[in-house]
Amino acid sequence: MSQQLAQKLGFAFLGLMSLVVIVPILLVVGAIIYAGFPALSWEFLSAMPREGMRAGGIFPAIVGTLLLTLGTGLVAIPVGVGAAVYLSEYARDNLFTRAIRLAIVNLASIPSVVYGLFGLGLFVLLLQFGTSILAGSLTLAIMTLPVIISTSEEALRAVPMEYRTVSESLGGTHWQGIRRIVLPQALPGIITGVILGLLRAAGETAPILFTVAAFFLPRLPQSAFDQTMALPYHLYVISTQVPGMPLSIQHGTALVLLAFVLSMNLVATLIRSYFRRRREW
Amino acid sequence: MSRMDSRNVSVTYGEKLVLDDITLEVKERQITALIGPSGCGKSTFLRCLNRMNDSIKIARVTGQILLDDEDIYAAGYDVVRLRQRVGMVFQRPNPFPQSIYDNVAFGPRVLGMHRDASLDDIVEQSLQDVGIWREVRDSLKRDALTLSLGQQQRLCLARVIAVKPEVILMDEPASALDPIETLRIEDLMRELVDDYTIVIVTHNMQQAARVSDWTAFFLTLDGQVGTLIEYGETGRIFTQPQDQRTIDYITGRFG
Ligand SMILES: Nc1ncnc2c1ncn2[C@@H]1O[C@H](COP(=O)(O)OP(=O)(O)OP(=O)(O)O)[C@@H](O)[C@H]1O
Ligand SMILES: [Mg+2]
Repeated sequence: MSQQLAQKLGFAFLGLMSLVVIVPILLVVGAIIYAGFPALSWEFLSAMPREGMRAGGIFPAIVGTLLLTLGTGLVAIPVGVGAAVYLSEYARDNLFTRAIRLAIVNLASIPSVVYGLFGLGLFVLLLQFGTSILAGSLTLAIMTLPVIISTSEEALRAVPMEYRTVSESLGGTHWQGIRRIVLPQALPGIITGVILGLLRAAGETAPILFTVAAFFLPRLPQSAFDQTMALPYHLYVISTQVPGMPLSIQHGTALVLLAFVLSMNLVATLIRSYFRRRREW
Repeated sequence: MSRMDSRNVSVTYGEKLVLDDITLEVKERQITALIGPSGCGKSTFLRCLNRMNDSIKIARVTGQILLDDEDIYAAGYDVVRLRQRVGMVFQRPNPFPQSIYDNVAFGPRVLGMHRDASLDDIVEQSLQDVGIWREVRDSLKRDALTLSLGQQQRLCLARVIAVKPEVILMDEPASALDPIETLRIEDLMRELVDDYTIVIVTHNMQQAARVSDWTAFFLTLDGQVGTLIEYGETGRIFTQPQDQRTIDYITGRFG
């Protein structure tokens, strides 16, 4: 067999494999858009659900997911980025920090329902936050932290050591070098990590199941101690728990959740390419 | 007159002694060249002069280095202030990935100098001092990494000058540059020496002879320990070296 033929076969095989990955995704997305689009209307997006959720809109679930994502970010971003800066810039490489890193890697692989139960035990019951946006956000934040910490740390480590040295040689303190040079350089990577983490939080059902999600609550939450509806849980409920649910509402809800997640993904991509483009003149 | 005074300075990395008992005076407003074969500790010695070895965990420095009769290794010595007074230019041009302006302004900003003088003035003056003001005055917002290597290295020099140091340390500042840019850097050093004390590490014997007033020749003894073999005025070191090993080195017999 000639080299060229082997190469062609190799490429064909790789192309086929990519198709195997991409086609199902496209099919799912296509199907949801096709079936969900007719359900979309201003009323669907902005009205309270009625008649046992079989009519009306999904407004409280949209608001709930936005609030939970926001709350998760408020907790997870400072803690996660702070931890990453500590691990990459300050921590010595010893048994203790190695244990922390190992813990972070392992945390990332824990099933989300375990986070849900943990949140129930700690935030809802022990700390008596009740089933609330606060408890849900904290639970989601803990679940998100490993992703944010490890991607941010990676981004920080990718910044050449030299910049820190130069900063020091100019009389900058360790922190000034980090703040003025290292963090801005690592920012695109950090933002990407943060958005990926928040994406996961926005789409999860299990962690909010016991900590915040309301089955049917046709009003908006009044405070951080209120329950709320949320898109992923709402989708679960209307797909499995409510008999006689119109299919179009299910598909419409799925489409809204998908659009939310994909648009955040798009923002992450845009930010990355914006920063990359700024490098080249 | 001596500007910095190294007395019996020795450096170990972990267990390994790499510089032994270096005593030499860096003369004020003169260029001192450190020459010697690779690995003899020139960079290590240079880093001693502004305590950049501090950040190398395993490095240990003994002896004294005096700046204005004060030992810079004394307990409680203000290292930030030392770095402002003794600046450093590195081998590879390494501007921050920011604008030309921000690069020069970095030092004055972290040191809070712009409270005394306008930042714009400091930036302009520093760029003028290194001779690239005309080339970049209309593009101060441009990314510094888009400059040519020679321009980048002069920008790095401007970044150091912006904090108004007394001494400038340069570790093979021209080794990444082409011959024309190298000459420009050398000319620049001759101009700057009217106002600054300069210490330069170089592998290039002609460069040391061309540019420096004083030359210190380092050599590794027993294949391990860096030592100062001979130190004196550049003219004398190159025409009448006293140590046989200096003669061998500058005539290119080893190294
Ligand atoms: N961070 C470090 N950790 C351990 N050993 C080091 C470190 N830096 C330098 N050394 C060792 O110290 C010795 C002197 O190194 P140094 O870089 O000062 O030499 P140099 O004269 O500048 O060499 P060159 O001309 O190649 O730059 C060498 O044996 C080197 O391997
Ligand atoms: Mg060196």
